[in-house]
Amino acid sequence: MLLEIKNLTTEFKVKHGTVRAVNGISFHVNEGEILAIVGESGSGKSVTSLSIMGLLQENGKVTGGEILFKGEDLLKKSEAEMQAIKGDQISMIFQEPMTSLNPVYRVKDQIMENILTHNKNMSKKEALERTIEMLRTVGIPSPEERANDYPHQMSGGMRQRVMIAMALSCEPDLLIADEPTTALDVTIQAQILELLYEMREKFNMSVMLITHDLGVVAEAADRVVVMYCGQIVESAEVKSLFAKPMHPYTLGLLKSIPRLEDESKEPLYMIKGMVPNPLHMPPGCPFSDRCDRCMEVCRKKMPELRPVGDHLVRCFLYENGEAEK
Amino acid sequence: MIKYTIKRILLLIPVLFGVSLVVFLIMRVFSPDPAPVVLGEHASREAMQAWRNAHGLNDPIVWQFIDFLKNALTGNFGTSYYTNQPVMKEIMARFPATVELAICAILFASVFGVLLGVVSAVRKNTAVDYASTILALIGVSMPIFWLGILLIILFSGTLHILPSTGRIQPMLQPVGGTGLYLWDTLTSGDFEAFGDAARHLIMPTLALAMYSLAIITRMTRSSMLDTLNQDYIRTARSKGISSHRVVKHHALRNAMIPITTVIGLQFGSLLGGAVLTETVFAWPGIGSYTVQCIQKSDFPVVQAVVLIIATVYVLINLIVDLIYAFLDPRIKYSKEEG
Amino acid sequence: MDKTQDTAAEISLSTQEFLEKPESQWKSMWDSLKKNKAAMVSLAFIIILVLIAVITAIFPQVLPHDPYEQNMTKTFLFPDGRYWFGTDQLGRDIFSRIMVGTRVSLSVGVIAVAVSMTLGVVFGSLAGYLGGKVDSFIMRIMDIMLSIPSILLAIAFMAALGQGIDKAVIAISLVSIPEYARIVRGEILSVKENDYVQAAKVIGDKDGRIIFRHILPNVLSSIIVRATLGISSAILDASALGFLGLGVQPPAAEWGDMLGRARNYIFQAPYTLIFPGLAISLTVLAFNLLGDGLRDALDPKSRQN
Repeated sequence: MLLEIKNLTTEFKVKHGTVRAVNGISFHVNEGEILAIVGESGSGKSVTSLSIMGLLQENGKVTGGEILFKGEDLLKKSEAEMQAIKGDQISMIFQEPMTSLNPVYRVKDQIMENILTHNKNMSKKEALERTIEMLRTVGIPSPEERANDYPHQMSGGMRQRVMIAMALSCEPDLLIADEPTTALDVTIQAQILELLYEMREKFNMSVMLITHDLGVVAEAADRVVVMYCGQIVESAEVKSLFAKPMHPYTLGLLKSIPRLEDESKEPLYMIKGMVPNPLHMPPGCPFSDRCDRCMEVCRKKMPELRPVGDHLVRCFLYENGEAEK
Repeated sequence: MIKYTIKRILLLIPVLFGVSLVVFLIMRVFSPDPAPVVLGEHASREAMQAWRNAHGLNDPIVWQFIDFLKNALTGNFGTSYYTNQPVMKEIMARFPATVELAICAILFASVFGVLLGVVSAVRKNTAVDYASTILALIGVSMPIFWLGILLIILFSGTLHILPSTGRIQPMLQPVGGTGLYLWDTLTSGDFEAFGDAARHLIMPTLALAMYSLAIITRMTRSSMLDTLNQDYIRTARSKGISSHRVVKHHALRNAMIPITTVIGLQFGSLLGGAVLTETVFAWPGIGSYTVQCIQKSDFPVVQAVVLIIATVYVLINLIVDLIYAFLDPRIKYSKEEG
Repeated sequence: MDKTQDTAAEISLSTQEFLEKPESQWKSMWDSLKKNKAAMVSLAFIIILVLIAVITAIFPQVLPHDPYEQNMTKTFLFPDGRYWFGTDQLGRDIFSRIMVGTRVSLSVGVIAVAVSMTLGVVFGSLAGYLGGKVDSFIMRIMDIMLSIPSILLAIAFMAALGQGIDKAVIAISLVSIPEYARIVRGEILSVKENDYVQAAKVIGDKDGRIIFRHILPNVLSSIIVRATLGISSAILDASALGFLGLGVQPPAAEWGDMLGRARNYIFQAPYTLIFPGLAISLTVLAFNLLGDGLRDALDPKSRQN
C-alpha cells in the first residue's frame, strides 16, 4: 500500500458554523494503480486531495484521522518535511489548466523551479535539459521552442500537458489529478487521459484520479471510490462497479451517463433534488431525500459502510437482504 | 516593444499641447490683467501700457499662444515679471530641491507601502493588519500640511532634534553639482553636510509620503490578497517550494503589476502635494515658488511650472506603462504581435 | 427556435429583475451598512456636523463667543474652561471659529461634489453611450486635465478667478470632473451590453430614455460611493487652498485658512494649530469611513478582504 487514509475528517469554519467536508473516510491506493474518486461537487473529493497535499485554505483543517504515505503519517510531518515530499514524491495537477500556471513566468522556468527545488545539486543546464525532455514526453511538439512560451501563448490542452510535465518532473510515486479533464474539450479530454495512462506505465506511479465523470473512470481507473456528502458510499473494482452497482447513488450516476449507442428517445436520467445544505444535514442517510428506494430507517439512522460481495456499500438495502425484494 | 514605446511617445504630443492650451487659457485669457499687480495700483496708464507692450500682452491672443508654444519648445518661457530673469533659470535653480524631495518621498512610500501591504495580506486579520489599516486610514484623512505642522511641533518645537525649515545649513551647502544635496555631498565625501541634508529631509519626506504610503499599502494589500487566492499559487505550493518563495516569487511578482500603476499615479498627487509640503517647511523648491508667483500674478512662471510638472508626470506614467508591459508578458507579447 | 425563445425569456426576466432591483437594492445596502460600526459612527458624526453647521448659522448665540470679535488683549490664551480651544493671534475664540467653519467646509464639500458629479455624469454618459468621436474628444480633454496634478490645477484656476470661497468651490469642482466622467463612462460601457439595455433598444426606447431610465439607476450606486469619498477629498483640497491663503476672505472662519494664518506662531502657540487640523482630519475620516462602508455594502465581495 502506497497511501492509506484512515478516518480522515476535514472541517471548514464558515460564517454560520462548521462544515464537515470530509467525514471519517478510509481508503487506500496500491502501488501502480489508478484509483478514481467519484462524486458531485460538494462531495468532499477535492477536499480529500487538498488535505493530503496540505493545501487547504486558511479556514479548513484536518481534524481527525491519519494519512499514511509509505507508512508515515503526513499529518505529523513538519512544514519543511512536507515541502520535501510535495512535488517530489507526491505531486498534483488541477482542474483549471488556464489559471494553474503562473502567467508571468515562462513554462520552462516553472518546471525547472520544481526540479531544482528537489534536486539542490543539479545545475540549471541539466534542469533545462530535463525540462525539455519532460515536455517531449508529455507530447508537446518542438519542446525546445515551446519551453520559452508564456502560459497565455498556449491552449488549454497544452497547458495541462505542461502541468503534467511539471508534476512528473521529479518522477513522483503518487500523482493526484483533481478533475484534470473537466475544463477541456471532449477530444482533448481523451488525449489527456491517454497521456495519464501512458505516464503511469512509464513512471510506474500510482494515480489518484478525482472526477465527477464516471465515463472518465470507466476508461482509466482500476478501482473506484464513490463519495457523497463527505462520506464513501461505495467502493469496488471498476469492472465490478459498472457491472453491478449497488448503492442507489452509484446507480443514479451510472444512469445519467449519456450513451452514444442509446437509441431510445427517453430523456437522460437525472438524480432528483439537490445535495443537502452541509450546515443542515439530515439525521439519517444524507442521500435519503433524493433516493428512489428510500425507507423509513434511512431517514432516522446513518447506515454503516460494510462489505457486500466484493463491494463496500453504505446502504440499508443491503443490511437485511432488502435489495433482493 | 520599441514600436509600442514610440507610439506612446507620439500620443504624448497632443496631451502636452492640450496642457499648454489649458494653462495658457487660464493664465492669459481668464486671468485679470497683471499690470496693476506688478506695477502697483497707482502706476500711470502709460507705464502700464508700456509694460504690457514690453511683455507682448497687447499682441493678438492667438499670436501670444503661438509665441508661447514656439518658445516653450526651445525651453524659453519668457522672463519673470519681477526679477526679469529668464523663467527657465529661476525654475532650474529650484527644480533639484523638488526632485530630491519627490524621489525620497516616492521611494519611502513605495518601499514601506509595499512591505506593509504584503505583511498585512499574508498576516490577514492580525494585529499587524489592523495597525496598517488604521495607519492607511489616517494617512488618507490627514491634510499633508497639518501632518507637516504636527511633525514640526513634535520634532522641532518639543524634542528639538530636527530642523523645521530649509534644505541644509548655509555653511555646508555644496557648490555646483547636480543640486541634489544628498547626492552631491555623498559623492564629494562631505559626510557632515550629507548628514545635515538628510536631517532636513526627514520631516518633509514623511509629510509628503504619508498619503501615497497609505494608498500604496491599501492597494498592495488588496492586490496581494487577490493573487494569493489564484490557482497558480496553489500550484506553486503543491511544488513544495517555501512559503517565503511563494509569497515573493509568485504572489508579489503578479501583484506588482497593478501596484506599479498606482505608484505611477501617486507621483502626480506627490508633485501636487509638494506645493503644500514645501510651503510648510520653507523648502526652496518650485512648489513654494509657484505659490509665491501666483500671489504676485507672475504668470510666465506659473505657466512654465504647470507645464513642466505636467510633462514630468506624463513621462513618469509613460515609463510606468512600459514597466507594466515589461512585468506582464501578456501585454508585452500581444503588443509585439499586434 | 427553442433557443430564441429561451433568450427572449431570459431578457424579459432580467428586465423584470432590473425593474424590481432599485428598492430592494437600497434596502439590502442599508441593512448591511447598519452592521458596519465604523460607518455608522461616521454617519452619526456627519449628522452632528450638519446640525452644528445649521444651528450655528440660525442661532449664532449658542456659541460661547463671537467667532469674529477681535481682542488684542486676549491673544494666544491657552485652552481653559472659558476658551475651550484657546484664542488665536487676534484674540478670537478658536472653538467658536471651528464651529462656524463647519458650515464652510461641509458646504464646500457638498457643493463641489454636486457640481463636479453632475458635469462628470453628463460628460461620462455622453462619452460612454455615444462612443466614437464624441467619446474620444471628451476623454482626451479629461486626460489632459488628469495630467496636471489636481491641486496644482486648482491653484492655477484660483489665480485666474481670484480669491474667495465661491471660487475655490468652482476650482475644486472643475478639477474633479474627469474622475466622475471616467467612472460613469466605464460603468456605462459595461452596462450598455447588458440584456435589459439591449431589450430596451429592441423595444425601441429613445437614447435619452435608455440613459435615464435604464443605465443611470444602475450606475447610481457606484457614483454615490464615489461622491461620498469625493466629499472628503473636496474638503481636503478646499482646506489646502485655504491654507495657501487662496480660500476665504478675512475675517471668515475656515479650517484650512485658520491653519495658514496661525502657522507663523507654530512655536509660540502650537495649540492654535492642533484643533483646526483635527477638525479637518476627523471630518475627512468620517466621510472616508462612510464611503468605504457604502462600497462594502454595495459589493459584498470587497468586504471579505
